[in-house]
Amino acid sequence: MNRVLIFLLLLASCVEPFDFNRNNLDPQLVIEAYVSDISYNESLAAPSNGRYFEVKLKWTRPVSKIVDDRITPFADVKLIDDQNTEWTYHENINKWGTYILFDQDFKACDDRMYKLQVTTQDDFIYESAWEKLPSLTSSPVEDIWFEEDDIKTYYYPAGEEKIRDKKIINVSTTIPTNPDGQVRYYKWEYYPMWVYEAPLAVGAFSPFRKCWITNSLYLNEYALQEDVVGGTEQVLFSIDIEKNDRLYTNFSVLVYQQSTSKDYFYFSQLMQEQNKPNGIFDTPPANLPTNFTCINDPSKKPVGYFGVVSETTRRWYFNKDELSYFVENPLRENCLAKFNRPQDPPDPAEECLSCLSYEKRETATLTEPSWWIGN
Amino acid sequence: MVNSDFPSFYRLKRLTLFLCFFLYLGPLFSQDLKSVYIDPSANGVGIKDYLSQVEKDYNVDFIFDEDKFGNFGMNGLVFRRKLLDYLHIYFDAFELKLVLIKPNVAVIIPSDLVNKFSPKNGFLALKQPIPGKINLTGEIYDIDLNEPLIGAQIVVESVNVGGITNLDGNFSINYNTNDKYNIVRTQYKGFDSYLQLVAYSEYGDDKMPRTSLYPSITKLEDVIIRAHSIDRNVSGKLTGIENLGIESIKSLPTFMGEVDLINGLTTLPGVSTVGELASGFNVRGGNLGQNLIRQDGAIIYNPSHLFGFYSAFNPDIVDDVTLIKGGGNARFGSRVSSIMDVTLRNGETRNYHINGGLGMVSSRISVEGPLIKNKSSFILGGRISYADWALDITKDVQLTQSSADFGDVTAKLFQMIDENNFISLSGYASFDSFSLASDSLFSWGNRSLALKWGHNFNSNTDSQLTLAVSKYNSELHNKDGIEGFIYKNGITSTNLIYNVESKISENKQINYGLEANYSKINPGESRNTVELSNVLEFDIDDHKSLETALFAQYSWDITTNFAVSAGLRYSQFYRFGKGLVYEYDYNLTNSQFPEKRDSVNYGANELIEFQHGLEPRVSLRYKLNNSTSLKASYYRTYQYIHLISNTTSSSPLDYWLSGGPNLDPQIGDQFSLGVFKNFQEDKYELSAEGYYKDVKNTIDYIEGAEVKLSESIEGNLIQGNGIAYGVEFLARKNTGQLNGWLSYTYSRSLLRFNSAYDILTVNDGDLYPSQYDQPHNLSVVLNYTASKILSISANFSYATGRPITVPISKFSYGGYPTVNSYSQRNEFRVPGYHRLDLSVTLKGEHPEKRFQGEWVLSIFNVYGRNNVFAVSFDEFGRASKVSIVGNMFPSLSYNFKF
Repeated sequence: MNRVLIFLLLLASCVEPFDFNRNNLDPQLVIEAYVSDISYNESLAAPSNGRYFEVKLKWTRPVSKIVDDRITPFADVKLIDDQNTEWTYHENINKWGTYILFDQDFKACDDRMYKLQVTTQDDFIYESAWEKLPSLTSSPVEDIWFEEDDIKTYYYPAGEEKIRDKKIINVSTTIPTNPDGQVRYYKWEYYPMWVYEAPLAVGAFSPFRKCWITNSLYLNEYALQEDVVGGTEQVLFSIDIEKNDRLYTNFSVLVYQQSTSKDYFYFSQLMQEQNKPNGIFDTPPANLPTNFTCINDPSKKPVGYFGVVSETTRRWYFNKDELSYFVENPLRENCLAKFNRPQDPPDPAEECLSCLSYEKRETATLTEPSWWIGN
Repeated sequence: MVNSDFPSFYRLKRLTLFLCFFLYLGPLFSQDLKSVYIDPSANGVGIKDYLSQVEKDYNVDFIFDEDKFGNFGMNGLVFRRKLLDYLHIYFDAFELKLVLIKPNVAVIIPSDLVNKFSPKNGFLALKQPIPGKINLTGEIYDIDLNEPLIGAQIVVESVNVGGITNLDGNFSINYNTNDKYNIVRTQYKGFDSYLQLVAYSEYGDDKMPRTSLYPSITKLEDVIIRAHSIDRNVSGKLTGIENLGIESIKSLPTFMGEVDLINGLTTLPGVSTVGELASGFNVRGGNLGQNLIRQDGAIIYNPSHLFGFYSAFNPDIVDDVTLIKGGGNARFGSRVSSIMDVTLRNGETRNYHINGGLGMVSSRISVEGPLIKNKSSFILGGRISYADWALDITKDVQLTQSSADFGDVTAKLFQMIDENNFISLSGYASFDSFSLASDSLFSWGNRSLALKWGHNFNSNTDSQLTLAVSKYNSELHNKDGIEGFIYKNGITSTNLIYNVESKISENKQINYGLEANYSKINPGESRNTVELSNVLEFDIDDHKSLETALFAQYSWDITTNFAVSAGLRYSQFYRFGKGLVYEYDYNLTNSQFPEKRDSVNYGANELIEFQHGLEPRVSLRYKLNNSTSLKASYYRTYQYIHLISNTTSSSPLDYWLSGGPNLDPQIGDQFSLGVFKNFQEDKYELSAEGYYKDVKNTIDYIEGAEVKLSESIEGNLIQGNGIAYGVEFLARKNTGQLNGWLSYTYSRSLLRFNSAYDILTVNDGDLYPSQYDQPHNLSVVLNYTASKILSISANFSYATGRPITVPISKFSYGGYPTVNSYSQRNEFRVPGYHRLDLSVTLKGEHPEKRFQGEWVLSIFNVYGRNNVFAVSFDEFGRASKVSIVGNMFPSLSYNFKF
């Protein structure tokens, strides 16, 4: 009887697409920006290739599966402090809609307040509220380590759904001790870089054998923690081990540990929650708060939050040999696999011959960063 | 000649004297109607005129309702014949029957009414010494034991008065009526109810003969619509009162065989539910927390089991359910939307019985019987689910990591102390737990105990004293090894209600009393289960409050047709410390939540807040005729404690908060106007009732508010105005092989939060629909009794889709390729809801057997409509509707009684 019940329940419950017929004719300006107390020059010491402060401007899009941004070019973007000092952002002509503050020494100071001003091509002026560094600055990132773990996952041998364990690692840090008990709002962001070696890059292709890869869509989430006591472990992110070619040679993540204001923290938290699968007992959806307003047309509702954060950084390297089990690199075998007729010449994928063609790249460079620590 | 003529003259004179003597004595001696003849000379004479003449000539009485037939001429008489024979034929043409109650008293009634009454003692004629005033006296006996039945109920239907028998089985009821006859129902638990037609005649008896009741043959309840006076929708003075007998609720098709009280209520006009199988119910656009749910006087704070699939009430123990859709009698208050009053039945005082049922996810059993025969009884019932281990045997990852359990126990003791006193003690306990593919376990439970003392001061005045304790707790146990915690909230309340009802005269009644409710609310506490957890521990101070009320309601039948019922309730609310109360700064420009500006720490039992209000109510009823009335009413109600729930569906973690410096009382003002019409001896009912409701200080939430696990909850709440209006239609067929009802409601439920502070303003301060705004709501319920063993029920329901906030655009931000931008609050709607359910009940064929069983086959969602239970949005903002029962869902259950 109970098998009947379960069968019926599973059979009866269903999820199907539904269209609400939404037509939002007036897109909203999205402003993505923050500044911190680490300047470009200081960020080089992370070590990293350096980080300029950026402002990304785009318009909201109708809901659909299209994820490309509808960018907002030709805007004037300025950072202003409470002593009327102005810093102008310059649009990146290789990446329209992105504006860069090329001042290599600029960093937020704890005795100033800042606001961001954006004037769009059609002369609408958007300004943020005055923001300043949090009173509690970010402490150094003490340590970063990983732990092996298994999680359950489905697999489908012969079309039948089964469950098996999947190997992952959880990468963690220790939250700095917090002896005064004051609430701190932490946010961790990650910038991964890894080495990809093209397995068949020999002969004329040998200069293209080894690349350093970045991709902003990998490890693109962040961790948040409202901290009172400190000294506790914080899982930053998890990495799949199986069939993850990023780990085959050398893998590194630059971790930015940010101490934020409470409101910027809640903004980040709400955005994070929005991206989790929603359940029936979840809080009803709500728009993200913003500290931007349109000065000359208050009816326009911009999106985004201008943050002023305190940062510290630490780079973490990972090698698969550190694992307690062996991880095979099957790339060469896969590249040599023949999928055409036996009499035809080999036809390997481009990424087998040149690392610059690696599919998972956003950027790929043949030049090893000076600070990179290889195997 | 003279002499010869003398004898003749003498004989004539003697004859004349003899005739004169009899003419004189005539009125003193009535004639048997069977010996009255009619001849062709009556052809053409109006029937009423003729009967009136016969009444005069023969000292007989024909009792009939003047409106039932016209004064049509008689015809067809070709020879002299017995009057009764002719009248039987004559009235057949008008679907009327003449029944001879006494040799000289006959009643003429609609044909379909005759079979309701036993030929023996089913028709009675009583004297009416003062026109319009009746004193109905009699005695009720157990026919087997030849012993009086104590506490048997006698109800005079259509007049809507009643009484109960004393220790000797006697009763006496005084009432006013202009009816020519009334129907009297006598009922007693464990016995067949008995209907009698009581006609009023100068030739009637002084009192009713002894009425003997037969013990019920053990059987499951017949499908009937209502046990109360069936015309009270017309004759009652108050508006907005819905009543459903448990038999009606049981007749509705079920989901997985579980009879659901709340599901039954939602078939009535003005009552809706937020989603498919969602727990709780919404009355006239109000939210769940604006309903007060009482079971035998004790408050039930969470009326749901198993994700809201089932209500928390055991159908085998429940007697009936009354829903007051706003205000009602002044003795009711505390909630601005409705009062749901669940009455548990007393156990049988004569025999022991066991009821039970086997369903697909749960089973139930109850036992009842006398403690002292005919004086005291007990009833004890429980339900238990077995869904939990069923989930374990599946291979689905989510289901194997899930659990779901529920159960409840209900008990009641009843003791008749003497003819003027009885007490009852009701107890209830329930538990629920579930975890859905996660390491968090939700659990909650109700406990309640209610002691009731009923006392009759005299035949016109009685009182009820109820002392009840209720407790509700819910818990979230996060078993995470790093951030594990246990979060709890709950409420404990003790309430005392004393109500005195007195009949001042035949047309004036009053009830008055007091109510006190002491509540201790635990809004929330969180304790870590691991050391050095980053989760903030907190323990919000308990909210201690005392709510008291004095009330009085006066009902006056000013004329036969015009009646008024007016009441006043003065409620007071005290909140005591200890407690930390924050003062908030809402004047912020860059934050979505208010800042704590200051705080006040109140000591133990220190008065934090006093709130109070006068709650007037007035209802007017004007009867256009015996079957039609107009009613109008106004109610004001204050609500001092508030349910906090910011989830799409009702959650077990919803919790209560006391009013205080940051939370003003909700004040509901409701106006209603209705017309009520019955047809064919109350066989059919038709009503239309419109209402307008304004709720001040209704609660909603700051955008994005997380109202769980927060110490400064009140800072996330906003108070504004709620407006609801609508018109409710009900058409009902009360009796017959095919019966049921159709209810349709057009209504709106709107909110407005307009503040000088941005963060307290929703949708730019404009009116917007609440989550419960469903303009069109239709229910059709049909029951067909095909035979004694087979009955079929159908239930169709339709409701406009509920409002929802949806993503209207998207953008990328940081590492997230898509972040949604949402519409204004509740700007869109989910698709409309409709569903057809059917059930077939097959009963045992031998009612004389002690063991009785029935199979109930229910088909839920017959045409497999994918109704929306929830709407989810993916990272691209695309919507998916989730249906819990997206296909036809058959279920089989077995009920038994012995």
